[in-house]
Amino acid sequence: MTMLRHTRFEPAIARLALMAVLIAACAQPASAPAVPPTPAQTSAATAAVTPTPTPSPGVSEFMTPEGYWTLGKVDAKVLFVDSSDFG
Amino acid sequence: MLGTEPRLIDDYVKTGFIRFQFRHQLNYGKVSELASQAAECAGDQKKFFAMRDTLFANQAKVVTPGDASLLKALAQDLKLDSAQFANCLDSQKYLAKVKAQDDARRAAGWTRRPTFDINGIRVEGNVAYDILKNAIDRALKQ
Repeated sequence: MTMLRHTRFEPAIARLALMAVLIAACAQPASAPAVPPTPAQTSAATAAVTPTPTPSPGVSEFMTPEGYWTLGKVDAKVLFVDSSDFG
Repeated sequence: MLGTEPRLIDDYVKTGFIRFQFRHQLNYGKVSELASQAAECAGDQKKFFAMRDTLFANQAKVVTPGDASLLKALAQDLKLDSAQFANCLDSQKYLAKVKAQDDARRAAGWTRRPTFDINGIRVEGNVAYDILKNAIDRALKQ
């Protein structure tokens, strides 16, 4: 028959164990998501590309008879030309 | 221009005061030619300005000479018909057009990048919004 012997250290060990459990519980996020977030699907070639919003929503684009792409109303009073280079 | 353009669009294009037109400059050989053609090919699918803005936003890394793969990936991200875009770009159907636009601006003496023309008022370089606004307001009063 095994004798269980209580020592004076047992209450202290029990308190330490309880504190360890409480600390571990506090370290968990309060509402950890059940499923990790999935990154957006992006083609590998454009993974490093800066995203841009869809430009000028609500404004129509059209090509002039001379072949210039233009944004806005055909009969707008002022023609604003932007001559630039993508390179 | 990327910083000032949204304000111009909001203040003057959406309100019907100006029509905003883009003309190609080709200062960097094949790189410029390929990117300009990409914008024109996007225009076939009514997304010229969407591609233009994407090209400017990614200007530093858009192309290496002779490599159109990233441009095709950008077209995919813009939800363009990939096959149609690739056929357009590979065929170089717009090469003569963008070269002609570049020739025209050189002939007109538009040497700065960018150059703006506002009903005949020329503004050169990356300028503050207020400078463009003043020129537009002057043109509107004429």
